Amino acid sequence: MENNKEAAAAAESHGTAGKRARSGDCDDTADDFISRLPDAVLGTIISLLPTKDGGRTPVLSRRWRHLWRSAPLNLEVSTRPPGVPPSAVSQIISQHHGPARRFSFHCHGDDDLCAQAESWLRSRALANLQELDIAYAKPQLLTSLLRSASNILVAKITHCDFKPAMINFPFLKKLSLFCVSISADLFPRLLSGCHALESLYMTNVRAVGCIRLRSPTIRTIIFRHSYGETAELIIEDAPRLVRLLVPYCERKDSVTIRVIRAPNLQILGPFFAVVSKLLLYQVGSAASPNLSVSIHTWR
Amino acid sequence: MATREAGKKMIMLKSPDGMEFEVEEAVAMESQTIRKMIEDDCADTAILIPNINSKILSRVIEYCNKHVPTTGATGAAASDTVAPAALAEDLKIWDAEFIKVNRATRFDLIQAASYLNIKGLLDLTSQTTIDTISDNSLEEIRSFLSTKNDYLPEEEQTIRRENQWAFQ
Repeated sequence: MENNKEAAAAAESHGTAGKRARSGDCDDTADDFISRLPDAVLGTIISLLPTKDGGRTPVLSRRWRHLWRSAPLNLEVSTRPPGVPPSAVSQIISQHHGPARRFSFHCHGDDDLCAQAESWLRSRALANLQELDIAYAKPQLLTSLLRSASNILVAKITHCDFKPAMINFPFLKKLSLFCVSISADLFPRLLSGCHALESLYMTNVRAVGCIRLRSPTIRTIIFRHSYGETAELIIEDAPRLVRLLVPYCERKDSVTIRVIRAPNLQILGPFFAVVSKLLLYQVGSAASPNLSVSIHTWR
Repeated sequence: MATREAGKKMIMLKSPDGMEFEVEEAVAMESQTIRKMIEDDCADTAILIPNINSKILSRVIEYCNKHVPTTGATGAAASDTVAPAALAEDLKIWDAEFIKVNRATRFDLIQAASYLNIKGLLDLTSQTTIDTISDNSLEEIRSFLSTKNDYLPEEEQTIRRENQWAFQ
């Protein structure tokens, strides 16, 4: 196996050597502007690249040799490209010195993978993780990942059944839930475990019963529902809420939004009046005279 | 836009080639580096910006002028992270036009954005480089970046082997 890899690498190297001669001829400028940039800027660029592209940069030239190791790691793991497969993760995290910018994990995963993923998140490479992006994880795996990365600032959870027993994210500012199912009583617990949450983006969140929301810190909510099912969102208490956006609703939607207390709400809508119900109680006050509600009506 | 309201505090920025630019303090403070100088009282009447020539500095100021948050009546717009959709769309179009520059200028802008610590400008100017490195062969990347492969063939192979996972 190892021999095959080396042979392949050698073959690729010869191939690129041939191309190098050609590209040298047609290059219009010989100035290597990018290599003159400070390490920190090149590190930022590397940390924004897809994982494999970042991992290839040390081969570019000596200038790039050690940058990847110290640039914040963006680790995207998935069973299909463009991410790296789970089998490659142990090698990556053994080479990288951390910190990590983002860990994305799009795998169904069995029990074995749960233990592995937990150990990855305890590694030096993934210390101080800022951003977590999880998709298709079974409940147990999702629980493991969330438990091991409780200090994250940004989280995106897609196509998961949300059932963690313990929820505590003291620093989480931005939470996105796409096609997530969650029980109506777990949702308030999720929010009360997010002590710094400012932005919540929900698309096709399936909850049995209505979604009740209470948050002292939240400023923006985007609620998007396009299943043709009925959905109900109740803003019970959101003292700092400024924007409640309900974009892209389809005609067959039936969305009910009840806002009980949101004294600082300024922007609300758009709503499709025929199919959606909007019930406002304590919205706006002397402190917030600027509330604008946009209601679109289907003809 | 910058001189819309009278009585705003102005700051003089000087480039090393002797040009002077008078800008609103709020616009100059889009740069975290300049903000720090102003807050630490290191800025008297004029701030010399080393290493950034007048051509690049004027483009940087143009960018900051466009991106300085316009404070609404309640003051909420300045502190809020989400811009109204129409404004955000307008800025995107403006940014796309702004970044239509040659490679040398773009790298100068990256350097300036990095030194002056203007995150939005750094993200914008780096994006083309990121797009280039994503999904291109090493040779294409080297060619675009004008980076010479200064490895010996055996060295290159060793490094490839170290990061084998990136080539599979």
